[in-house]
Amino acid sequence: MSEHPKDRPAEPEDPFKMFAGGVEGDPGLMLDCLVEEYSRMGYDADDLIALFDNPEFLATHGLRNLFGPEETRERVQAVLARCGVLRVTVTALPPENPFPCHGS
Amino acid sequence: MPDVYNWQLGRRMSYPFEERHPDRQFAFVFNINRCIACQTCSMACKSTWTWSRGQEFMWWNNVETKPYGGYPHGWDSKLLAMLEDVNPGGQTWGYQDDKEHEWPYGSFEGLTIFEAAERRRLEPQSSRALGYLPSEAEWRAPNMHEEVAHGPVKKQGDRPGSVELPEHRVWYFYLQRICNHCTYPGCLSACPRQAIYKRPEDGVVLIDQSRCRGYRKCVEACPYKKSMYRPTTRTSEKCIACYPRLEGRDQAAITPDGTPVETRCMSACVGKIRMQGLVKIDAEGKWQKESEHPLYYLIRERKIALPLYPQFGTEPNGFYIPPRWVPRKYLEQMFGPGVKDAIEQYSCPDRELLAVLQLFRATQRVLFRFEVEKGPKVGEVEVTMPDGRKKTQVIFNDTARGFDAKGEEVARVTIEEPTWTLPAEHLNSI
Repeated sequence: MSEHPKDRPAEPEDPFKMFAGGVEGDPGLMLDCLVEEYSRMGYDADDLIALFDNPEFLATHGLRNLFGPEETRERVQAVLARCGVLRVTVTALPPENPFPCHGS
Repeated sequence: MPDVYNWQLGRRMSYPFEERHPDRQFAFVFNINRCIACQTCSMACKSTWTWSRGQEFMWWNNVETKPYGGYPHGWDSKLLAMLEDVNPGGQTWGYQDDKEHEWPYGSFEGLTIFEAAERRRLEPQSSRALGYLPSEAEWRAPNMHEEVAHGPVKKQGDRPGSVELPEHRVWYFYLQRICNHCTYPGCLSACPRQAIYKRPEDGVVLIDQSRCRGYRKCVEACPYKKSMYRPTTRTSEKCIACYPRLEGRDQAAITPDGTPVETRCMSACVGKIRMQGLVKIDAEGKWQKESEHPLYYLIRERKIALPLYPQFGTEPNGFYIPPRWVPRKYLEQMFGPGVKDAIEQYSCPDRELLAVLQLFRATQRVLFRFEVEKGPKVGEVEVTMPDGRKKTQVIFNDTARGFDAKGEEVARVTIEEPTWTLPAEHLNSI
């Protein structure tokens, strides 16, 4: 019976091998900081939870997988209860057409 | 080698060519704190410039996960190890608080990649900077295995024969990288054909495709590995800072009047982490004082945006606001000794800094000047400081105004007020 792939030693030219190692840190602080950042841009709890739920956003979704959906929601709400949501009004002058190739 | 002045190291250093500086320099600030790794920037760049045959592994813009990843694999840790090998124990920063000197972050007492090449007496002569040529495998599979804490969690036995893979339970952050359009480019110094040049009008570093013969000396010498070889044309290519947009000549862009527009990667950014600009450079290579220029303000005046690996010595023109949640020692190796002060200021920004930070991605036009209209105090919020303690931040009803190259106002961001939503159980408590 051949050796299982997971038990085989890494090949020297294997492009998939890990190069760098982990360093101790606090993912909870990371989550708090990200929530504060986006609350400064006007994201409320629902907007933020949507960021955490979306698997396309690796940073926030990774934290959601780490803490679980319930704890993530609780943590988001705890940060917002402390720092609030900054309401900002952004005006581009003149208003920009994001798709200029498709007419005004 | 001639001596040139590197303001980021606060000293003169060896470089293969005499000092010469552009009138303005393309520069940018990336706020790592806001990046959620959506990779929209990478795709905006790829779909504009590198979608052809031979460019499959070519990402002029990439976003890599630190500390796990890199593109090409291990690019920074390999070069740091090579420098350490040439100058064991000597790659250190010295004094930080010395009013007599002009060093913004501290004095670098180690060797740059050019000085290390000199000490090692590298041959042939075209190896003017310490570097290495990544293997083909190292360019492949960017982002692979950088972090696995994403996507639906699969448990052992979900599928026949499946096993549960480990997930990192430690911190990580995302590093966004494009060419730094360095003041003293490693790529330019190494090209035996002199095919690489720095434009006098904006400091953008380009490879003349008609002169390039694909020797890959630039790939070897660029410490950031942002010069890439294309096998189908047998030439090297690199980020061009979307210069048609920078010149206001991109017909698909939003400025028929010819004012500069941000690059594709910047204008596509979902998290509003990016800001670019053109800063004035004097004849000695120093940044001219422009306190009302948003980049000058963030980089030179407040020093909250720091160069990536300044110790390499190329004087990169890309700057990063370091992430608040990451251990300081790791960040100091990456951004130099200015990290502590930058994070301290950024964690609880004063009213002017908060207003300027709101201008990120408020418009696609390149900003040349900002103004802050002061308003009344509207509230106080509690923020997390780097050591985990909480601090009160005062919020004002200020308005940040951004102006383009022609002095026209093109963006206005008003901070209205902090708001709180009552939890559901307290909705009827009034």
